Amino acid sequence: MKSRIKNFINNGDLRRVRFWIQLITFVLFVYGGYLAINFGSSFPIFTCPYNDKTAATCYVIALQHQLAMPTKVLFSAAFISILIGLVTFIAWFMILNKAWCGYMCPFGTLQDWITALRKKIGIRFSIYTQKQFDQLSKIKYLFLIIVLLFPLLIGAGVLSNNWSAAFCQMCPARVISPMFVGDFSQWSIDFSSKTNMILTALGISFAALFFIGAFVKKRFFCFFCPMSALHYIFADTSIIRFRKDGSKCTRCGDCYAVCDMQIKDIADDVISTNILRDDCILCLKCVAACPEDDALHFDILNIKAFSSTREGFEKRMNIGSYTKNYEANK
Amino acid sequence: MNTIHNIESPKEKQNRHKAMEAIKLLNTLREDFKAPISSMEYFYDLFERVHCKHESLHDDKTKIGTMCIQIPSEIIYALDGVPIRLCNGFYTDDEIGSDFMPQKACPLIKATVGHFASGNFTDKPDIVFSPTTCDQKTKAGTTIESFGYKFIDVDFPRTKESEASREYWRRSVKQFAVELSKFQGKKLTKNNLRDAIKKIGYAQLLYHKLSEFRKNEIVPILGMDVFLVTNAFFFDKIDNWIEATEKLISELEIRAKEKITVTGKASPRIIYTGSPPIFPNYKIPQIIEESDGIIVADETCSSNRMFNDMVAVDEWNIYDMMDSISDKYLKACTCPIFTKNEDRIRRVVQLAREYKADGVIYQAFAGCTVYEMEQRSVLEAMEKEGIPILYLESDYSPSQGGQLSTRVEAFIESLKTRRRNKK
Amino acid sequence: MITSKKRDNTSKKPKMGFLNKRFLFSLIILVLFFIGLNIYSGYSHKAYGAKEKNSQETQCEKCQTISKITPRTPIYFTLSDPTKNDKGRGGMHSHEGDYKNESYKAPSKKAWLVSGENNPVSGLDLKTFVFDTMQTQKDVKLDNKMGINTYSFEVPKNGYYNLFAKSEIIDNDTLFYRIAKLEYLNGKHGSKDIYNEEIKKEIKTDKIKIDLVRLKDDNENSFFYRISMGDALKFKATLDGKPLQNADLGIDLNSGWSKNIKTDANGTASFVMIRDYFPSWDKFDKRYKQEMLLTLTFSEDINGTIGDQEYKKVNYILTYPLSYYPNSSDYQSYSYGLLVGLFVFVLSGIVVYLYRRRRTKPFKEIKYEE
Repeated sequence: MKSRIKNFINNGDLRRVRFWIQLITFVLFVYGGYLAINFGSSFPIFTCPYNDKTAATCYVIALQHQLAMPTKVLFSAAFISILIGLVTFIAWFMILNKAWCGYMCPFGTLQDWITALRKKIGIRFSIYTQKQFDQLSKIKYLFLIIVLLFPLLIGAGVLSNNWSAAFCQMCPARVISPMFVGDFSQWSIDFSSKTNMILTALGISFAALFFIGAFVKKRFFCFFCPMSALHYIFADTSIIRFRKDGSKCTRCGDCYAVCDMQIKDIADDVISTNILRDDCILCLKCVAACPEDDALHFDILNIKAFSSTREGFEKRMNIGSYTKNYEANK
Repeated sequence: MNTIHNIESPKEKQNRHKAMEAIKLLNTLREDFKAPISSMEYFYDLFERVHCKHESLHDDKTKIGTMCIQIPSEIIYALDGVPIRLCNGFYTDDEIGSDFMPQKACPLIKATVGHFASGNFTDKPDIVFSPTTCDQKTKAGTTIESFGYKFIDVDFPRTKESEASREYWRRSVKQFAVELSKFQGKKLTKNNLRDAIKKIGYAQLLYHKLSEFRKNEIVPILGMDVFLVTNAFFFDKIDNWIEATEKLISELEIRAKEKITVTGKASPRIIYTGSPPIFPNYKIPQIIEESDGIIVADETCSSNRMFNDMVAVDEWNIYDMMDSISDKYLKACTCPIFTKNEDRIRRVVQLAREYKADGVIYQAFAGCTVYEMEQRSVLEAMEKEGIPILYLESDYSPSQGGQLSTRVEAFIESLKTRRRNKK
Repeated sequence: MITSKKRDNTSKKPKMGFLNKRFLFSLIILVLFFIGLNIYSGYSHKAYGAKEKNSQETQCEKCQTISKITPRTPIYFTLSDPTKNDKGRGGMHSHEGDYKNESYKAPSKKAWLVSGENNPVSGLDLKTFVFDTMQTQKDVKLDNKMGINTYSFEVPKNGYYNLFAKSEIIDNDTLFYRIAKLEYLNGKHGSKDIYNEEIKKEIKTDKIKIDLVRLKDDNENSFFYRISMGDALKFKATLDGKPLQNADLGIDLNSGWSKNIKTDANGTASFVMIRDYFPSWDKFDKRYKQEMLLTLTFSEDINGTIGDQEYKKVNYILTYPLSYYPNSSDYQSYSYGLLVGLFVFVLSGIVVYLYRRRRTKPFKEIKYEE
């Protein structure tokens, strides 16, 4: 019985499962406000509160507002509120590790839908060269520093109040998320001060760039997302692990070829067992595309929840479907 | 008295000699081992038809000759051609070829060149593609071209880790596809390519199913038989091959259930790795299995390497399918022509573990630089893992038998002793 | 040789693994530091008493005693402490007041009664009431600091809180019925309250005879709504629950502008907020807060007694302060926003397209620059 369940999961059609989960969570998080659903303000995905009907609030905005308290106040009992926010964030994050990015984030789902559109049209996707990959992967840490440092500088009085929620002013999600409920008001530039002008202009540029980028590159924005960097810092606290058994790996590179984020380590690193990297969104496409048994597996509390199997590979690549034609032509 | 002397033409002589070599091996397989498999008769018959009766199989399609495993068969099938792997195993052809090649050259290349020189094909290739893999194959290209064949070189990188080599090979494959499609006068379409990938994927699936039986403690099929099955894939009609292999698998299921074995009780399980044993040069495997060993798995380009890795595609459009195909033929390849051979060593170790092997036999052709040079690192790795390994050098000549069989028998005996001591 | 024995966290660390560990480590150190500091400061608070500013030690100099206030002088509420010299940040989120409470009681808001130019008033005989977000009456807490009264009321939920102070003084046969009203919209982030029609309902009470209610527009749907310049404001005056017509409504902006209008037959009066904030572009502050005071006056001839005093006329004065901010259309621009967006979209589209087209050109060689 146990092996039957295991086989059912391991041989499942990941694409369909992922499609439905993403659709349901998208509707839930983007339109949940209509049903007064509220998951709080420490949520580990880009559910932007500028969208009035959001069902949760992105932790980045709460973090920036909390850290922007005047430095004296920060050093007092008010700090407990930051701690509570952080602990709530970790509690949410712990459940799914970086799979929040791959399955739950509505912004990521949007990118996957744009990719599906491109696939339908039949336009080839672009990839980064290794050099570009190495250089661009540092940007998400830059954004994370903006999220953490600038509010502290505001609290210390170094930066004016116009810099409040600096990342949110630059964030494309702020511009795009309200569009889902018909609110296009974020597509405006705030001229009240030079700082605001530049930051909101950057926000709009990033939003426009987002559409182009997401069209030609799979999961374009996820490469630059500061939430992803924040996740990676706490990745070890989670109950979910992503592991590889190097001895079973043939380094065939199938996982690398299907990876949206172009992580080469999945294919080439045969020594580490913990193969979760900072770019990974835990979409599990690599596990689905691995033809060796048990080479890659997704563990919940050290139990192998979803692992790569040859049989699963064959089913997913529809190699068996050929046989139906073959039987007919015999 | 009237005696009519029919003096054989060289072609007829060659045919006769080749037929003799073929039938000798086939009869050995049919009769000399216990519990012969009835479904294997299709394969014996196939080789007999092709090499003894000189029957041609592919009259209706263009025959695309390939010199090495790296030419993607999926693209050939998608463009409505038939891939024929031209690697040759006949001593007859070896002798013919030695006129054109240096004395110390690899016998496989010599045999291939000799075959081309004689021009005596049952299914003559209309065009030959050769990836620039090992030195001897690369240089043999011009010789073969001088015989009047249409010969195209396909650029193959000698490293596989770097991004540059990946892009280089992808470009090469696309170039190959363009050339082939010009030659065939056909266009590569999404559906054709997808069907070809799935068809070959299915053949690989069958091979894996077949290999599963060899993992059992009681092995229902000889190593040589499996070599024969995979060799048949070189030139057989793929649909027939698939059908025959399916039948073979169902028979093996029955045999596995009834615990019919082809070996003795304590036959040591051997992994065979090295230069490919191509029909009818099954000299070493024959010696092994006649000495009471059983080959449970192999790491050779005529057998395991062709079927082991399947193509994984993310987006079923031509651009992504082509890239995935190129990646599979480069990154997963454990050919010793690469600069680093860690993947090959890991593969052998993994096979030894999975198939619970007692020992490894590493065979290199005399004159094969790459396999001979890798011998040292493989031996070291096996020592570290504690797996006994025997290194042999051989070629196609039938005379070497005695010395080799002594060494193999001694090795197998030592494996048996080791097993007994472990117990 | 690569032998693949299972090892659980690796000699060759993943790319950012060291950063990961260091971040976590420094985060933990930071947390411990803050907790330690808090324990220390909490201790020092209890042992040595709160360290307060010296400016509050001296008597209030600006306080006006009752003798200077005539019954006609309008008195009004203000939320900013009149004893403080600096104007303070006109920001929306004032964190300071809330955290003065060491204990975790419900948050409360303080108001002061002042008159004229923000001069505190004391010594008056007043009755104070406050109505919470559900229009129920709650208690007003009275504090006295150096002779100045502070009126505080709890604001546990988000919504409109209405604070009233009533003073009835009879002088020369005229009853001066003065009401100081304050309507405070509490909006706290992260609260679970929903803005619905209940919150906008009018208060019905018999404690106050005269009332001026700001009629809320349908598109006011958030706890963070603020009155902007250029908005049309509508008010309704009631006396004893019935619409009060022909009353004088005086509007005084703290920039000096003033206007007088009368209520119509339904008791409503409306006017449009003027724009009077025109600084130079780089000095523009979108959070610039300005104050205005509405004064509703009405008199009628009615006889009556309070206690042992008679009166023949009643003079009603109701004060209602409001604050307003610059209108967002003064500093936000859609046209520029969309222009920038379109420009970047087209430019990046072209750049990406050309870059991808470049692939079909021959292989780009490594160039050696001389």
